[in-house]
Amino acid sequence: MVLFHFSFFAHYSLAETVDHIVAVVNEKVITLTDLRIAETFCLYDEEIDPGAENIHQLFLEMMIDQKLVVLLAGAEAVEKEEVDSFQDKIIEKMGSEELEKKLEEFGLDRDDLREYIRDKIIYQKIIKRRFGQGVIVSLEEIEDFYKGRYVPSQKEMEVEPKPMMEILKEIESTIKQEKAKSNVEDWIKNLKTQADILIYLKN
Amino acid sequence: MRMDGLVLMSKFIRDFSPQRKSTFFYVFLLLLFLFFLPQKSVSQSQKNSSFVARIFVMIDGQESGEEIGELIPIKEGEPFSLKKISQSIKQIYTTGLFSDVQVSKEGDQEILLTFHLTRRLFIRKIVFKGNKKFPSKKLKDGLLSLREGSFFMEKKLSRTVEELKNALYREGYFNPEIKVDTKRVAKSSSVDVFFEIHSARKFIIRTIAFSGEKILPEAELKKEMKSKEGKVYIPSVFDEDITRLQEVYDSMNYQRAEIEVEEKRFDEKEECVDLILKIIPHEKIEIIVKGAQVPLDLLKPIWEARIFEEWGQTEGHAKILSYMREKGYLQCSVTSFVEKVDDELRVVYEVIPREKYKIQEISFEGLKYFTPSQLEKELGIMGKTPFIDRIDGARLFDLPEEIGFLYKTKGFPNTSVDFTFPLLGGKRVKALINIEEGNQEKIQKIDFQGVRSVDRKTILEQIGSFEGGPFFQLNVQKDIGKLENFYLNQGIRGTEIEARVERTGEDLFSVVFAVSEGKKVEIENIVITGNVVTKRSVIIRELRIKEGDYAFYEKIRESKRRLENLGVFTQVRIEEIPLSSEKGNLVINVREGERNYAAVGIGLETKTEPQSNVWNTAIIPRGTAEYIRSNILGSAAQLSLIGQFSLKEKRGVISWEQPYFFGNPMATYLNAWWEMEERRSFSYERRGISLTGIHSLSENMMLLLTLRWVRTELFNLKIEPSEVDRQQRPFSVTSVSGSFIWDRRDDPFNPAAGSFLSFAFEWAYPLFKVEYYYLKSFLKHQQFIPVFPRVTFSWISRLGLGEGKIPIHERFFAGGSNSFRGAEFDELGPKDSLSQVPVGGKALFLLNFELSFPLLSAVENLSGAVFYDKGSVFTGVKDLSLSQLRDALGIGIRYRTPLGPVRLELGWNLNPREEEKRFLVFITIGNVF
Repeated sequence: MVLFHFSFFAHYSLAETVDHIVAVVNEKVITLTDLRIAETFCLYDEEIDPGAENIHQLFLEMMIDQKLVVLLAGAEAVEKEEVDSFQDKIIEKMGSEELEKKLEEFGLDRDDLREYIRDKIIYQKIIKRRFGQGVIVSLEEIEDFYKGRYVPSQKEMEVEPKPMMEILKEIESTIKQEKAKSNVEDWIKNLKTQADILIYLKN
Repeated sequence: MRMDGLVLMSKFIRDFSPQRKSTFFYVFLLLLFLFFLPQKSVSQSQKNSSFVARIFVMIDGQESGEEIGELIPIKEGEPFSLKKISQSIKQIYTTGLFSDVQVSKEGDQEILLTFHLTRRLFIRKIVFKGNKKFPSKKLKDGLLSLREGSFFMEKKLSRTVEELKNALYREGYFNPEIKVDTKRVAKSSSVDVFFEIHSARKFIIRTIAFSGEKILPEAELKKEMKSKEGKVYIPSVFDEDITRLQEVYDSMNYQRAEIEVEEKRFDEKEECVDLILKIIPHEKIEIIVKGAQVPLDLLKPIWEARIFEEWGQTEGHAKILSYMREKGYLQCSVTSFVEKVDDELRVVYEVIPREKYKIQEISFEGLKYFTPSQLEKELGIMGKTPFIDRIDGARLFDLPEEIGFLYKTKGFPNTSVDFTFPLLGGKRVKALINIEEGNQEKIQKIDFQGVRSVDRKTILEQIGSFEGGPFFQLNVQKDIGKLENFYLNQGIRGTEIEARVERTGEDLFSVVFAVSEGKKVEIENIVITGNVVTKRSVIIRELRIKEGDYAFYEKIRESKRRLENLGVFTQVRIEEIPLSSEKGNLVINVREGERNYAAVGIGLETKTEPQSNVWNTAIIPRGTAEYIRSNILGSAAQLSLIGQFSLKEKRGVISWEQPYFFGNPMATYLNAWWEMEERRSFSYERRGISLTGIHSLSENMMLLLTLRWVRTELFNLKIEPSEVDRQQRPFSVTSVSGSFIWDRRDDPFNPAAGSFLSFAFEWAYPLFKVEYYYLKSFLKHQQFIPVFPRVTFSWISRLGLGEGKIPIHERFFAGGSNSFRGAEFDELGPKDSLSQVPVGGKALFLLNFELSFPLLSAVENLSGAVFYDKGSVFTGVKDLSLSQLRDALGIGIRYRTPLGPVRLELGWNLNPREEEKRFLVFITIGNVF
């Protein structure tokens, strides 16, 4: 009787929410499943630190930004090879077996996953087209970075700072990336003022 | 649950001996192993074979009907798939009917799926509470996120509160506390929003000061402003004051003056504000035109903003030349220069007008593709009309560009146009337009790639371009649009079309339309929502598309039009929701309008002759009450009750209107009326009932059928019955009448082209104690022919024939501004031998001819007319004789209004009889016809 009771209890489950709207961007819905797919298949590993706090919130913000950019900033052509290449990276990271397992969990096939990858590539291309070039870094900015950030950080690590000329290119590259990132953020912030975004908070 | 089991097990074990405990421990471990192993293996197999056993749909916590279930692409029995659930959520949201969608499941293998939908509500009304002085309309205008009639989103409420604060600020209410509340309207998908506003502060303007270079004294500036010291500070009024001051400076030629708020100093304690405006006048701009009278308002806007001087001068030249040429100064020239003197910018335009001419004729040289009349028609240039200029100078100088573009559309890319003005004599010139057409580019071949669903002939018929026809890139773009529409109307979605153009020879092109055909989409389900009162069958009846049909776009649009024409919905939306590439759902969302309308009116009416006592007083109060209830029983039927009452008359009308008659598409009207009127020398009472059906045969053709019973009785008679107005004479009639109408006029109120044909008959039969019996028919035909632009020739012919005992008010009458303009109202035809009052006839024949033309080219709505009327009324059909027809000539002036022309006409009776006037003047609103 007890075993049966256990067995009975073992098979009993309560109603659980399996999916819902997490955000709507200009009448385009992002569901919880979309968010979980992005997290599960590491679609934003380059942009989001997997160990970050509030990682779900970061993923949601990323997906909102991506949807916004793709909706408002126009179309981009995506080659099949680009999608293949990205998909290969995912397979390399997860393993083919694990990938298939996860796809099955979501009821997806590889073509469905390609749609998510396409959207991400379009987003990256738009950002690159708009902000990939034309970022100018002045000598003054390099000097400020060297004195204000590089030298103190090296001293903190008790490492002798290298001469500025030796790491000029690295500093320039870092500043360019930061500037581009800041430009992208400002641009997306501006796009958001033109868009209708609703975020659905659930427990 | 598992924890409970373990607790029970622990209790059970406590009562055992140590040996038994040890044995039992191992058994317990084994049981635990068995407990979890099947769980895991069952879970895996469950995941492999879990399927959707049942689907529930809950809307706002209530179980919904089947229609919403049809929106969900998941079917019972299908494998459980998160992807499909995610897709379903997106599809349901796309319908626009729901603001939130959540999906929950129960069970692991046989899954019970529940969709929890939150219905999207719309805002019925917005109410502001707190202070009756809040300007509600202005506050509502300031709300962008929430509007009456728009969808309600709770998430937007905080944004709305900010907008309301801004709107209140603009009206002078500062730092308000705002609470917002919503109340769902019972049995509907609407909600009322209430804003409670408290503690809004007002500030009094303590001082208004100016800084910068004022030019004008402060007192004068303050006088121009509506904001005053000592009065309440209202930011929106203050902004208007700044605009007004700007206009003042503008009128003083300081068009570039900058006036802005330098500071607003709020004194919270005293609730006062000090306002400081900064004025920077910049340079004064004076525009001088020498040599001609040109309104400066034409040129001022050019120099308001800072611009390159050369650009301003060129723009000014163009405006002056256009103005002068329109006046007839065809050879006018303009030069200009700019001077800077201290703070003044002086722009001087020097105009040399030369001679003023009238363009009497236009002729073309070098035409091969068009004939002159064809080209004139394409350009909309008037034909020769006496006293009217065919074209003004400004238009003439625009013609080369117009002609060039016209030729481009016909495949001529290199047409050049110039013109000269040979003198005709005096101040009259001819505009001689020389056109070198150049080469014509043609389409040698048209090909279609990827077209599988239709044959070449059919698809060629859809586009304007054709082999051997002119080539023009824009035409090819238009053809793409036409093809896209064609595919939509075939029910095909997802078609992509590109056009590739290649040169195949000298002036020859091939056009290839590369079509990636989509797929034919079948409508799987039609979902109707939003109808709270209206029956589903009433909506289905109007649809021109059904489940199983392909998604023919024109049929979907026609369905939407028919639903809107029912008159019971304020909004109709039809959306296609794709389920797959070949199937879709059609979601029809309607918003029902208000069903009750009531109106009460009070007025005064006057009698033609002043009377001495109250009962017969010259001015009598009059009341009207009206109530309309629409969409009765959800059947789109309407009931209206109208009552009019005064001391002397009472009238009541009940009307029932429905769009169908026993399932047939025939708008049906049932009317019953009763009226009673007391006149000085008699009183009458009339009752009647009629049933009318209208059936549309096509867009401009309809049939009407009416059954009617009317009874009139006189009482309080102080005169002979024959002296009573014919409209109030006693009669009773039971009749059936029918009409056929075929209206192809371009505009029913101001027709300039087309035709109108109607045929009506009435058969009165002595039923229900009525004494009249007759058969009457009436045929009317109108024709409008545009002869030249704005010149129309028209005629109307009318033939009426009757037999039997016809009451006087049902006989034919003619005479007056709407029938025969050589006789006064109703005076044409037989008269009573003693009283000479018209008695009408049983036969009527009328012909009216008219030529209308523009009078002043500058006043488009004013026209003149010459007319000729011929006809008469005869006592009986046998008396009808063409030799007895009367004639009238006349002229008139008309002014066109949206409801028809206002006419002033002078008619000349060509064969007046004794005591008939020869000349008559008529003033009328509406057409003769």
